[in-house]
Formats: sequence, C-alpha cells, structure tokens
Amino acid sequence: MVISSGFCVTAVRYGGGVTLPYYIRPGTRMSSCMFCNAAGEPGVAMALLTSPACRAISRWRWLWDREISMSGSAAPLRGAAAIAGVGESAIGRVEGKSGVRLAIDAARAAMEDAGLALGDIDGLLVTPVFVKSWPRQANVFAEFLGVKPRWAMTYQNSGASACSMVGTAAAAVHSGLADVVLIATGDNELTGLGTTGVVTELARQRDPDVEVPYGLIVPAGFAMAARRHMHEYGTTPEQMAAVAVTMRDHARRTGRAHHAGPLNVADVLASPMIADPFHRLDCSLVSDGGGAVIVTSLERARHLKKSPVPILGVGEAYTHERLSNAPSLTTFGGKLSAERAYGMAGVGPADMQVAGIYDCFTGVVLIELEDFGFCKPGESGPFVASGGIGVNGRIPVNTHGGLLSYCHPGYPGGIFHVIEVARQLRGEASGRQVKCDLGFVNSMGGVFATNSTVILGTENAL
Amino acid sequence: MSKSSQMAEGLDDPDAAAFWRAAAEGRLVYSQCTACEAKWFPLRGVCSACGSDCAERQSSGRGEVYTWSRVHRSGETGFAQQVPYVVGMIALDDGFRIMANIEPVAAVEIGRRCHVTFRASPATGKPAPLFILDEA
Repeated sequence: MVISSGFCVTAVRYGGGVTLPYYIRPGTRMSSCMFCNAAGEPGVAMALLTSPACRAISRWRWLWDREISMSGSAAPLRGAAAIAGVGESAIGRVEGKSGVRLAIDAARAAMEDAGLALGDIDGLLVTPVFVKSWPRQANVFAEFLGVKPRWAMTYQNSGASACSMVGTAAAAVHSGLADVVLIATGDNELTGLGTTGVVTELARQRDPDVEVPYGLIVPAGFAMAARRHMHEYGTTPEQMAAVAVTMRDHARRTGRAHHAGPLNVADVLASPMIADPFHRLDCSLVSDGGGAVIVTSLERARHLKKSPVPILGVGEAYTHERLSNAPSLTTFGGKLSAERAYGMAGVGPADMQVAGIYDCFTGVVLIELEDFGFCKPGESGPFVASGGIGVNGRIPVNTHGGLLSYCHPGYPGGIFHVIEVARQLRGEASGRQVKCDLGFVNSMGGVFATNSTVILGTENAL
Repeated sequence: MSKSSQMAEGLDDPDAAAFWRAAAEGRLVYSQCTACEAKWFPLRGVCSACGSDCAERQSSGRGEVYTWSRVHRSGETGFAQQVPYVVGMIALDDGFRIMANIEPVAAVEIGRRCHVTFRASPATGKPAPLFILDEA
C-alpha cells in the first residue's frame, strides 16, 4: 500500500474499511511504525505500517473485529451485574487507623448501604495496602473482616485497580465464581507514610534501569505528557489550573472532602513548582481513606435496599510500561479502554451525563477528556477553562472533587470515582446532583500504563 | 549465593547488566532485531515484534529533546541535592527513545539537539547517560 500523503496514519483504511490506529491523529508525523517500531524517515510511516515484518497488524485486526462483534446487545456481560452497595470510611487525615481497618470501615458501610450481611459475601477483591502490605492481602482482609469467600483475589493494577475490580467482579458474578463480590480498598498513606514518603516510594518503584537512575518522580512523568500537550496544542498552565479549581468547587459541595478551602487559578499558579509545569496544587492529595463497592447480579440487586446501578460496559488497555515506550505522549491507552467499554455498552461519549476521571494531576484530566471522546484532540484546555467539566458543564467530572481535592489514599483512589458516579445515578449526590442515566468511570495507573473503564447506568439505560 | 550478591553480579537481569557494563565504558547501547530490524530500548534478547533474536547495537548518542520536566522537589530519590534538575526524553537519531537527565537545566526545550555523556547517577551511583544540549 502506498500512501501519498505520507503523514496521516488515521487515513489508512484496510480490509473492511475500519480505521484502526486509534491513538494517532491526522497530521501526526511519525518516524517509526506504531506497531512494530521499525524506524524510518518521517513521512514514510505509512509504508512501514504495511511492512511484511510487522506482524502486529493482523493481531490488531482480529481484536478489532472481535470487539465489533461483541458490542451492544451481543455482549454477554452488558447489564449482567450491578453495583448494589457503596461505602466509605472516614477520609482525609484519619489518625489511628490502618489501611485494613479503613477498608473494613468502608466495607461495613457498603454492606449497610446494600442491606447485606457478612454471610452474604462470597467473593472478595482487595487492593494491596501500600503502607504495609502482606503477601496475601485478600486473606488478611477476609480474616479481619470476618468473611470466608469462595472466590478472592488481591488486585494490583496500580491506579487502574478500581475500574478493573468492578469489571472483574461483574465477570465473576456472570460466570458463577461468586454471587456477591465485595470490593474493598483502604490505605493510610498520609498518617502512615506521609507525602514525601509516598513520593519517594512511588519513585523507587519505577523501572530500576530505565527511570530510577534519572530521578523520575511520578509527577515528572505526567509532567512530560503535559509538556508535550502544551507543545502540540498550546495548552496553558492556567487551563490546567482550572481543573484543580473545578475539583475544589465540587469537593466543597460534599461537605466531607479532604481539602475544601477556597481555591482560584492564581492560587494554583502561585503554589510551589514541583515538576514543571505542575505546581503543588496541580498534584493530587496524599490521604487516608477506604472505599468499598458491592457487585452482584442485576436480578439480585433488584431485591436489595437501593436502586441497582447496572454495569453496562467494561474495557481495559495496556500499551507500555516504561514511559519512554509509550506510543504517544498526548494520547494513551485510555482511548482504547474507553472505546471497548463504550462498545460493550452500545453507547458513545455524547451519551455520557456524568463522569469519574482519574485526576492524579490536572494536566492528566485534559489528555483523558480527549481520549475518552469528551473533547476533540487539543481542545480540552479551553473546554475546562470555560466550565465544561463543572457540575453544570457539558460533562460534569468528579462531582465529589476527585483525587485533587476529595481523597487520594493511593490504590483505593479510583474507587471514590466509582462510588460518586453510582451515587449520582441513584440520585443521592445532594448539593451536586446531575440529571443522569448514564455515567462513565475511568481508572489509570503507572504513567498512563494501566487503563480501565466502566460504563454505569440506571435501569432506564438497560 | 544471596539475592543481593546475585543482583550485584547482574545475574538477576543479564540484559540490564549488559546495558550498565556498556555505560561504564561510555557506550549507549540498544537492541535491534536480526530478522525484522526493529529497534528496541531497553535491551532485550527477543524482538517484541516478531520474536526473533536481537543483537546489541551501539547508538550514536545523538538526538533531540522530545519532552522534559524540571523537578524542584524529588523526595528521597538521591536527587535531593540536585534540584532543580531536568528529567526528560530524548528521541535518538538511531530510532528509539530514552529517558535521561538533560543539562544545562535552564536551557532545555523540546526539539533541542543533544548528545550523550555519562556520569554517576545520584540515585544508583553507577555511570548513567546524561544528555548535554548542543550549542544553540
């Protein structure tokens, strides 16, 4: 195949006419094949894509065809399971409670919310406690809580754990591995390790040969993506700061957020620089807290205390581990993760009425808004600066205040996005309620390395 | 042999050990597939595209800044005395990307040409790539 334009990978259509390379934008200059990495002169990327050496293409074609065939009503997991209960521990700075204890507090709140007892729980998913981990975290938690599940797993998918666990729980219920799955998370990162301790430990867990020798703290990894976004699209620090300001406004409405003081764009820009272009207030919190979600079959959920929140679509994507091997620095695997979840649910971004987006740094939200289809590439900066993600905006994002202002205890952080969207769909988000029947949640871990998406709804959306 | 002494001899990860041996000699190395010629970093024995054997290649060490961040707070990563320092990504002319520190820190911009040198990493103490900006 000879491509005359030479630059635009998304123009490549082959076979049945499907536009495949989802994370390369029109006009992108490439110097190597996005599939097999074979290098060449910028502008001959199209020819490289069809190189006989590149066997990845046929694999992608297969995956894509399979997803199309599994979408909408044909997807067996769509609507099979539902969120039946949600709960939180005390959050923020919580003195005197271990990560396991915080998870237990959250689990008991979720069981109360669902109207379920310990004996009803037969499936268990827990995240490792970062501050003090055990080799068999799920067993430790089960013993402390007092449950004896017939199916259990310690789930370490970094920041993407929350949505991954919701999807896995739905699959476990659908397949019969368990009837009622408790997802329980908790960590005491603030009182147990402290902000500097968390930053240090996360930096030590980067790649020992490729990243650690150069002082890659996690904020700097995400900052490199934000820098590229600024370079390619003219995104500004003021636009990124608008994300932090919006999250704070939402957090203040909950009445229980970790950080709820007033905040404006000037405050963010005046806070100390951490990893240029991120100031301290562009960075998420370090908190104590736990969150729990109970997943069961939709049918059983209909007979429990609260309105069921059906799980309509799930999707994941893994594109790289080392940031230097990410296919792009301005669009990531979250795009495919979201497309997979949309595909299963049979919906698209325009149908979403509320969203939970992994907001570990302000600039991350901008990139994700584009990857999830809420903005066109390059338009997220003006979108957030004009109120697009506020409670009254086009797509209200993190109406609880997110990792930036509500609570970020590490691995459990993403569960609060799930909980908030579930509460919105149940009409329980007092002071910040959005009219909604469909909600989007995404969790992300590493530096855009692990991506997981869940589409939730009300009974009206089934 | 204890785990730590195995790590010290590079037995835990021979590919990584080969990279650091080259770095100690002032050479930046990457992998290239002997069949499909795909280039990879970090080093690997098997091509991630076609599964054929890879061979070690020496990079010219020349490239341009792809992205970067200037770090002002580093936690206890060994870089506390280095702030502000720049950690960034360099697109090598050879056709792969690498993360490394870039100096001088005040002049780093996307697209600036740079070349590799080696200095002891403040985090590990081992000679590691450091990219220096070419004269503007």
